[in-house]
Amino acid sequence: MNRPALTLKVFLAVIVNDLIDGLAQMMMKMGLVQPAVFSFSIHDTLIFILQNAASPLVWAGICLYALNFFIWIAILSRIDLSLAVPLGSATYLVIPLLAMFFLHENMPPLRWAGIFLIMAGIYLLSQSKPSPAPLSAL
Amino acid sequence: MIQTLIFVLVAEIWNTAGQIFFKKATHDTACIATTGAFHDFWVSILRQPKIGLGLACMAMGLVVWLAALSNAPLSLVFPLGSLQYILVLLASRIFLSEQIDRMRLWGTLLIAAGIMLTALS
Repeated sequence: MNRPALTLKVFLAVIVNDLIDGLAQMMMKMGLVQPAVFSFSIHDTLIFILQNAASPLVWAGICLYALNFFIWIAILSRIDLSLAVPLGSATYLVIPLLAMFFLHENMPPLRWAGIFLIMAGIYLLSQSKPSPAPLSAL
Repeated sequence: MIQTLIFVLVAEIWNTAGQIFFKKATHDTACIATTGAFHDFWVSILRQPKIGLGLACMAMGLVVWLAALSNAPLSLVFPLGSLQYILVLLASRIFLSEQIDRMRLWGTLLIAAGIMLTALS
């Protein structure tokens, strides 16, 4: 079996997946009951869950996560995990650039440097060779 | 600060474990993915126990992640997120035997550094 190299379709799917992830996290951050007390004890965990179970924003975030699950599985069936995960960083390019063009936010030099590094990283990843298919798939 | 770092790291370890299970599940259905119908692929993959294990790991990661978010400002949690890329790279090499060539190694490191910079600015 031959796994295809990275295609534009898969790359776009990775970006969409990560944008939805960012949206879901923002919703959860806004929806969480503040301030939350949390530790790893079972008692505190249950209280934490119960406190937040009534928040529609948290549930909306969870629904988006469910949607993302299906997109992500489709992506993973096509490319390496060690390729798919770092490619998701393209979101970090898209959001600041959108914010600059549409919200006229100014871009500090350090952020430009970060964006440049991420672009270079994505270019290198696109040049990386896919791993041979695992034995279990033969 | 230290507590946040530990929370984020624990969440990322759970997430990485989940990713490994997901990827292994797609290995097992890889033939269907390339030859079979859309419906067959999803039926076969959702029956994989590894999907359930992966989801359980992700759920653990999510709870710890929510805890980290509720305890610390996003501006602190966000730059630490780039550690996930390093963890996934190592785990893909160790548990999935993915070939990490020079392009992939440096690409991932550049991206992790770039995210740190973007998040700190």
